[in-house]
Amino acid sequence: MSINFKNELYRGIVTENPIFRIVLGMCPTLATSTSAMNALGMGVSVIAVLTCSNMVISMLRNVIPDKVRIPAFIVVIATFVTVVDLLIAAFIPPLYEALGIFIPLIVVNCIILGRAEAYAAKNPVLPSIVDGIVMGIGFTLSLTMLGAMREFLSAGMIFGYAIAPFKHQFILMILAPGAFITLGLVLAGINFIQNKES
Amino acid sequence: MMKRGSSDLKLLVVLTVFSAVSGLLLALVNDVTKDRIAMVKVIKQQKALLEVVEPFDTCETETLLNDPFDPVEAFTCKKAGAVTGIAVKISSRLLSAEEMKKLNLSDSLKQPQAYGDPIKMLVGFSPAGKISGISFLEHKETPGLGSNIEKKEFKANYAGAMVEGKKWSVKKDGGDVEQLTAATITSRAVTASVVKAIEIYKNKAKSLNIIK
Amino acid sequence: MLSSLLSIFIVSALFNNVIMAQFLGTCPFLGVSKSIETASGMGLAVIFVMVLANIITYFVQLLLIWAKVEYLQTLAFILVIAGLVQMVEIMLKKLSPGLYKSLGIYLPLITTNCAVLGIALLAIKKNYGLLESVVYSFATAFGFLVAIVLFAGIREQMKYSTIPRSMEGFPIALITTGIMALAFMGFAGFKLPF
Repeated sequence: MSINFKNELYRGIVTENPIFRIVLGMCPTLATSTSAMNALGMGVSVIAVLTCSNMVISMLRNVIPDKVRIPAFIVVIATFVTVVDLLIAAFIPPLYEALGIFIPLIVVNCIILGRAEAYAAKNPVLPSIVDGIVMGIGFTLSLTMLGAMREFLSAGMIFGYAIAPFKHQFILMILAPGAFITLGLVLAGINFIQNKES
Repeated sequence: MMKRGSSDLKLLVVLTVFSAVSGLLLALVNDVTKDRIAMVKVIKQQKALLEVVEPFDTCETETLLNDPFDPVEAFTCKKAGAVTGIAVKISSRLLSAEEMKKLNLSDSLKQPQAYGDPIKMLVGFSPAGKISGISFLEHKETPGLGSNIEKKEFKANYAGAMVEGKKWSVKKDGGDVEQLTAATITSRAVTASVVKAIEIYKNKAKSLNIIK
Repeated sequence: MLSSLLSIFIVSALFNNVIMAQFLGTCPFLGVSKSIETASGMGLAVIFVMVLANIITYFVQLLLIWAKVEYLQTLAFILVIAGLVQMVEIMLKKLSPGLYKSLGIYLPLITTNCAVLGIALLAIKKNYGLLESVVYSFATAFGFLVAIVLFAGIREQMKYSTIPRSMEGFPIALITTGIMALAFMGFAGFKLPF
């Protein structure tokens, strides 16, 4: 069977976007979207964990007894999360400090267990890897977009570069209320466009 | 019954194998990364030290209060054998009476707390008794309010001042430290920690015969 | 000692509310807050599991340090929490069917509640002792209960209001949470009397 990567990518970014469509993995979405850079770092970590765990779970899908399915998945996921955690601590220390406990918390990110259960446990290895990559990309793009929006609204910058023509500070946007309100408005906007189309 | 027993055994075997493989893999990755992680920490500390004391060749570390996450440490920095500065690593954490005694600090010192986790900082002193610099290693204060402790203007409250030259409490409490707007509690916590650092510096300097 | 425990309690329940300031446990917060009844059930179940989880992970951490394998922390903690939730479920079913009926359905949802793992990891990071860790986890879970019950109350009222079609469901829930978070920020201005 051949996989149409372009179609799959469309599925991950648009039709089944983990954040905007399925609304999964709220904690890291809200907590790490304080700036575009943090969001991108978190997104890339999730892509790595999701792709690896999807691959391994799909490889072992016939070995794992149904009864201990969930604990077995958790072991696989937690292993890759720890690997990513150690690698970031060693090679990208500033990111490690910015993300803090949200790296180990990737373990309980519903997206990862969700994809393992809904896709990797039922499909062959190659499609599962592709699923991990496209879903991860969908997550990363949406997260980075939110991060960029909040960074722009709070300080007029994106990725640390001043974009706004004037200097301003709107601290609320990087604080907790800003996170909830921004995501709420973005979701409302998506609903609005969708309602108009149909 | 028999069948159930054997399938339970299979579950156990599968989970054990999973955990064992995972443990092995992690041990491997840990082995590869652990030296680098340790090095990252050392580099970070070296950078912070250079920020708060005069240039040096080597720094001797003395752990005054052992704690896996938040130790209190004194660094004696030397250039060509002469002491160029002393730095104290301290946090705004609430120290117990026992810990205060270990550090030779008076019980009457107030220990106001910050909002977030304890603010960790490094305070540098010159041999002449001047605060040569202050650097915040870690804090979780509100961005835009309490996080302004990182600004030069706030640090200037401490850096450059003589140890005995100021009344070390915020203006609201009758001292000489200009508190941050809308972040008095953070300013109090920092100032109280600097007071502890000053006391530790004095003890250290006395033991080195730099001051009497 | 007592005042430091009290300050841990107030800070973690209100100032640093687990949902409103730390974003931990947002999924169940948005998912099970349609009515006050289910919200309080979930809140109580979280208190129960979070305190137990913190006690157990405290000892697990000691074991990990003793064996010099601290890097297995994430793996060990999540397995312990998943196992704990299963055990609580089985025991509750046998010992107290009444309690099981009211809390049982929320228990499986708690394994993926990142607040439980998050608070266990944070208690270790903050270097809390056993007693402090228990107070910390209880206070945090209590903060969760307060937040989710308040939120469910608002949502029950919202059923009777007209909401623009695009705002229905998650968008309005998130914006309401945002406004609540703003209100919770007000607590940060308080000065503790001790």
